Amino acid sequence: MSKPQILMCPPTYFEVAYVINPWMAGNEPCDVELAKRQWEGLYQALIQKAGAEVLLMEPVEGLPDLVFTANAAFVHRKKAIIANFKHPERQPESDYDEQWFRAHGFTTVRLPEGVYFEGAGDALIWQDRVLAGYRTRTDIESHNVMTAETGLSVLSLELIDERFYHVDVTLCPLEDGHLIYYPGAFDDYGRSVIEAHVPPEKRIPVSAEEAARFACNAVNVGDTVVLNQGSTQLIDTLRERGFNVVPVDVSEFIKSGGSTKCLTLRVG
Amino acid sequence: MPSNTTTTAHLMMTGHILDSLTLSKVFDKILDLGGDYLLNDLQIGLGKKDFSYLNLTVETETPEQLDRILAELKPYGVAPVENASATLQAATADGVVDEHAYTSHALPTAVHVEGQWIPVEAHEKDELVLVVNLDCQTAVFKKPTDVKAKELVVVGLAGLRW
Repeated sequence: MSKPQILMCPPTYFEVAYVINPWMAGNEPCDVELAKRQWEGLYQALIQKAGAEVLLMEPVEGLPDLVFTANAAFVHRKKAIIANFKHPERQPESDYDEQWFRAHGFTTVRLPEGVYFEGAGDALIWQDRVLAGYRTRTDIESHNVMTAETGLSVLSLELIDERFYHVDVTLCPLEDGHLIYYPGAFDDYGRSVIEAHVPPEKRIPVSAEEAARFACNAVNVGDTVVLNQGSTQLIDTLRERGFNVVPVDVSEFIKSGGSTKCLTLRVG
Repeated sequence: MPSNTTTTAHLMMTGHILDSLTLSKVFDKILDLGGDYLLNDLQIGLGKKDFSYLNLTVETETPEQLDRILAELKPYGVAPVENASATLQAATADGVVDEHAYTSHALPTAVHVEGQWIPVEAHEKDELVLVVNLDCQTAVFKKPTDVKAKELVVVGLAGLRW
């Protein structure tokens, strides 16, 4: 059986060079050498502890957020719906993302002009559906494109808190049907949608404090969950439910508004 | 039919609007902002990957109220009917039409194709499909069994006006 494949991008040019989300403002300067060591720690954890194969894409000078490969595309089987970034600072990334996917045998899809979409940062496969965020960075019109291109139905979830600007910082579907999620990131309609589709025993709600430490931005491979250190309540809950939890330190990337999940993209 | 166009808008939305509760949210927002709506048609997608289609008319007391409602609804994929052209699918053989061909007991009065509104010929209500002739700029309802191969049939609710 082949190993799960995850795409990452080395942080050679990573820095917090602009402010396009609330996490980027008001921090101590990013320690780029520490960031490189933290990225390496995540990379090794995915290989050694999660048993994944990690594929790499070339970093590009002037595109510090290329390191957040989760946003590169939404991937289903061998098709990649390429991101159409909302902010000009990230828009050039799309062409590099598409080049990588084409070079690795994927069919690529580009969205219509004016329809924003930030890849697997805002669209997570859960069983036979997609849990997809919209409003802050992604337009709801992209959800119909996802269905048309993949045949998957989409549950659209409005993101109501600018701090939780991608759906992958608000929830994490686990392979066994559990759902880690922060209820406060959604309005009554969004919470009703989650509760209607996820049985109570499979829901793992996260506190506001731990959500702010990006607890929901976790990488799940089989029964292994890799996430930012410090979310002790969630870590304890996951271990009680039989998961192998691997906390890692990604503090320098959180200064840019991303954690472990943002730094990765499942491509196979 | 509402007659004051400055406080009336013909809108549509499509997608998984039922499962996502987006439809409920749109109705609630219209009412919360002091408007009213008339549901012209709703076609429910029966399969998991099938879209549902909604066409509605929103009415308000003032143009400012309507502008606010339209701005509030835009993030939910609600768009003026005028922005969308009808989707046309050619019949593959005599009497064979797309499974998503528009059929409804609420008969539209016009269809938007290639930037033009084509009036729909009045007909008795029945399970009919809407056939568009681009050369003649006509739109008529026909029984599916009367559709000829290559005739263009309207699919979904996009581009329809009541």
